[in-house]
Amino acid sequence: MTFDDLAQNAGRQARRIGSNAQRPNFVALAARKRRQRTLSLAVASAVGLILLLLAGPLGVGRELAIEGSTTTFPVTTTVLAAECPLTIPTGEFVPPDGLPEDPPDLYSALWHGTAELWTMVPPEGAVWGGLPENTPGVFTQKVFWWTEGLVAMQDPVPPLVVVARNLSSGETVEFSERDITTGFRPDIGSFMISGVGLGVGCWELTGELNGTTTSFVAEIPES
Amino acid sequence: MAGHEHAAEVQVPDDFGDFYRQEYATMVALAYGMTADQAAAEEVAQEAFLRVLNDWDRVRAMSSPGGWVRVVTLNLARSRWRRLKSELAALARLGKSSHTHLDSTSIELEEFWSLVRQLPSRQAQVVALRYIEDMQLSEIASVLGIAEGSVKAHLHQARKRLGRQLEEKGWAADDV
Repeated sequence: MTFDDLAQNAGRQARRIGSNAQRPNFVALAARKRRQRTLSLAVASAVGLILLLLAGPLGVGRELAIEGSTTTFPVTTTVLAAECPLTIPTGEFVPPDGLPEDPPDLYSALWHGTAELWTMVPPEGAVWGGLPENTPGVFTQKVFWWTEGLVAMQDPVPPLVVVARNLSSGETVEFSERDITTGFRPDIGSFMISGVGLGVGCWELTGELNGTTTSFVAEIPES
Repeated sequence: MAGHEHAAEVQVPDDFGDFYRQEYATMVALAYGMTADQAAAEEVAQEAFLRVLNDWDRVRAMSSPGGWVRVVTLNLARSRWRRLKSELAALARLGKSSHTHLDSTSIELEEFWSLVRQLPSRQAQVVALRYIEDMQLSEIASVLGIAEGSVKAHLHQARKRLGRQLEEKGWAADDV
């Protein structure tokens, strides 16, 4: 048997498995998953709140200049969207520092970037709906970043700069220093958080740290 | 205006239902190719369609909603396989057998997909789309959003590596 014979047989076998799979009632499935997700988000929000409350008293970083951000994790790279070229992570990057090959399930995302600077991006791209609007027209979000060797306790104000560029208008907004802090969690190690406040639209966010950049495109849809 | 199916608080547009019925089996097949675990493949496919539903207005406006759900499925499947691998390794350390066994109807096919799983992500995705969906290089390029030349390179590298590993296991991979 040749390679192609085997590969084609394996492909046929996979197709048979797909065809024989029972297709669940999607309406019921979606309802059940939505209930589970609501519970997960509640837990995630509680974790995020505890994290921020602990960060100040422990001297790990400072409170973000932008308050009220949610604990959802945006971000993505290739573009298949109709108008906004969302970044879709390839899943190829595996971080150093003993972190898992993929972020824990809680974050519903994949790593994206390089060992010098990486972040998390949902497998389907970052569409940031439902963000808090503390100032009219400005929606706030937190974006997590990592770099190899970061120790949050030792570097509460990393020299990270995040530039958001609106892909329609060309407008740019920069976030640094007072918008950046660090933190630590056992499941994702030492990280940097950037608080960003942006309007509705398609944005390319670029993190820059020590001359290295990592970018992704995210969309903030109309409410 | 399309109608909706209702259940509790969930509304599913009719055109999404058509999309789901049309693509579900293929997504399970692709996920199986990346995980070699039927139960995991079904879960991955369902999760992919839930993400499509959550963003259906945007996805339906894409030039290729089918391409998008394929990318999401492949990404989720890869992630799922990595977690399965970790679980299997942990169970092995504990000296226990796993309930998440890698099922396949034949050793040959299990061997094939088990080798595919160990390829770099892009190579594994290209192999799955090529041999499960019989896609041409240009179609794979369109789905993954990369150049056709890159697809060709990934496929070549994957075939070379798989062929070598199969030969080591006694396969007559003489056309690689």
